[in-house]
Formats: sequence, structure tokens, C-alpha cells
Amino acid sequence: MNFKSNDPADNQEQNSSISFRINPTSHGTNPSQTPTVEWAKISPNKVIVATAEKAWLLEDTDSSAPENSTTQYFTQSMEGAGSIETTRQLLDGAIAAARYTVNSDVRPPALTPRRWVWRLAGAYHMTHPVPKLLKEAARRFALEGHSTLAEWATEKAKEEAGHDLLALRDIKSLGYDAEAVVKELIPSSAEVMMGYFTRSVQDDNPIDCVGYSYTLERMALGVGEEYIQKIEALFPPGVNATRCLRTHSSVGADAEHVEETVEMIAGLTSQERVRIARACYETALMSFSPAYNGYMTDEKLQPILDPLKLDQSLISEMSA
Amino acid sequence: MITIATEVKYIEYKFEDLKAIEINLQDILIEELKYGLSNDLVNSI
Repeated sequence: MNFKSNDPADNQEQNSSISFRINPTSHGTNPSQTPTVEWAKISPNKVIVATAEKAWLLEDTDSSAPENSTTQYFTQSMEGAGSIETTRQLLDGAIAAARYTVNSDVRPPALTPRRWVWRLAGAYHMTHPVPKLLKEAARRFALEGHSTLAEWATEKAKEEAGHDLLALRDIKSLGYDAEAVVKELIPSSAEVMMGYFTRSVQDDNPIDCVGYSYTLERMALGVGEEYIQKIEALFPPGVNATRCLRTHSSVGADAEHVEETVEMIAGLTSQERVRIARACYETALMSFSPAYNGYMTDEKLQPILDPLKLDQSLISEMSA
Repeated sequence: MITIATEVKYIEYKFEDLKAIEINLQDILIEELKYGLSNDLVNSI
């Protein structure tokens, strides 16, 4: 993991001081007044500070921040306007901070076709309720008079429609009764993630759902063609079981979605940006944490999945 | 329209104050996705 510490022996640059400028609260009055810093308290003892180029995690801010220090300053509410560059770094920093917090070397077992079916079942459960929930978020944002967020959620609901069907088609391509598989396999990690998203939407202010959505789409950009081909190499030639993955990758539409969302977030108030950064951190904590009930191995999956295999002639028919 | 300039504030941050760790998400994603996400899910929304 590549984290630079503030140990002088590790990094000479960080032994010095750095000046930040807070962006005036008036938007776009003068191009020279480019914002230079945003910050967000993402947990009781963690603060992310971001410039247009970098993000830093300040730790132990609850107890040991020296009085009148700049660290103590950053524990106060953020002020100033956002910009696309600093807001992007702020949100990236919040996501990265979660990996630093989890700090686990536990890794999932190697992928096999059966374990890919398990992940696809998770993808189904994480996509199926999303359009409906986003429509509910849009309704709540509109009730609060927040037209920007209402429009964002409405658009996002349209974008996400049908993604559950991609997961089902991928499962079928691997020779299984997809509907029966997703009834049988409900990964606890997916339940936890969707529980968070559902609670966010049902909150008086559903703004945390923006952070959740942004985090998953931002992390999907880490998936490139090379990774997709590695997955495809698990299957016999002609099997297409990566439709869902491709859609949620840097070769799918997520790159564009991330840009649009960060632009929208940068225009929100400082309090709203802080809420979203914290939701990014919380969502990423769930993503970077090992599976809650341990990992599902190929051996455990075999007796569950084998009875759900489709007749070969049906598979050929579906592939045609 | 009259635009009133807002005062620009400057903050000097001293890294020796506390732990300040530079974090880079791209590096993390490259490392994490070698194995798939730790929670064993495909990123999906």
C-alpha cells in the first residue's frame, strides 16, 4: 500500500509547511480566485484535506491536535466554495482513507467460475432495488426544494435501470438458472451495502446516497480491460459473463457518470460536500472490509449451484 | 451587477503538527483490484 507518512525519515517534503487558500464563498467571480483547499471531517478523529492535486489524511484529530494548530482549524466546519478539482481530491481522499483504516491483508480466495457466479449474485442484489430507491431519493430531494439533487437522482435512476438484468444474463451465460441462483445466493456484504443505501435514501436528508453512488462508480474506474480479460479467461470460449462488470468499469459508462457527479457535488454547499465525503468514507469502509461472514469458497458453492445448472440445450438456445 | 470580492483566507499547515498522510486512491485501487474488492462483490450501482 502506498501511503506516505509524515516521518521525516520517510519524506523530506512533508517535514515542511504548506500554505492553503480557502475559496471565497462567492462562485466564479474571478478566475484567479481558484479554490485551493477543501476539507472534511469524515470520522471523529479523521479529517481529509484536499488541494487540486493531492489529498491528505489527518489522524488523531480528536484528542491530540495542538491548541490553535492548523489541524485544529481543519476540525472545524469547512467553509468556502468547491471546485471540480479540489472536490474530486476530497472525495478520492475520503475513499482512500477507508482502505487505510481497514488496513487488512485478508484477500478473497481466487476466482473460479462458481465464485464469479457468487459475485454476480451480489451484483444483482446491489442493482435490482437501486432505480426504485433513487426515484424515492429524487422525490425527497424535490420535497426539500433541492432541484439539483432531485435532477441528479432522477437521471441516475434512469442510468441504473436494467443493470440487474445484466447480472442475470451473465449468470445464465454460465449455465445456471439465474432467477434461482439469486434467490439462493444473497451475499451478506451486498445486504450490508444495500442496507446502508436504503437507510441513506430514507433519511430526512437523503444526501448520503450521493456519496454511496459516487464511491461505487469511482471505484469501478479501477476496473480496466486487463482485469475484465482476466475474468473472461476463467470461462470457456464463447461465454459472455462480463456484461455487468464491463458496464461498471472504466470501459463502461461509469467514467462519464463520475465526471458528471463530481461536477454536481462541487457546486453544493460546504456542509453538503462534507456529508457526501463522509458517506464516501463509510461506503468505502464496507467495500474494503473482508466479507462479513467469511468468504464463500468454490467447495461451499458447488452443492448449492450444481442443482441449479440448466440443460445444455437451453443454454445453446439462449446464446443463439 | 456589482461583484463584491470576498476576503481570501490563507492557512499555513505544518505537517509536523500531527500525522498527515498523503493518500492516493489510484494506487489503492490498483492494489485492491488485483484480487477483487475485499468484500468479494462486483462494484455495482
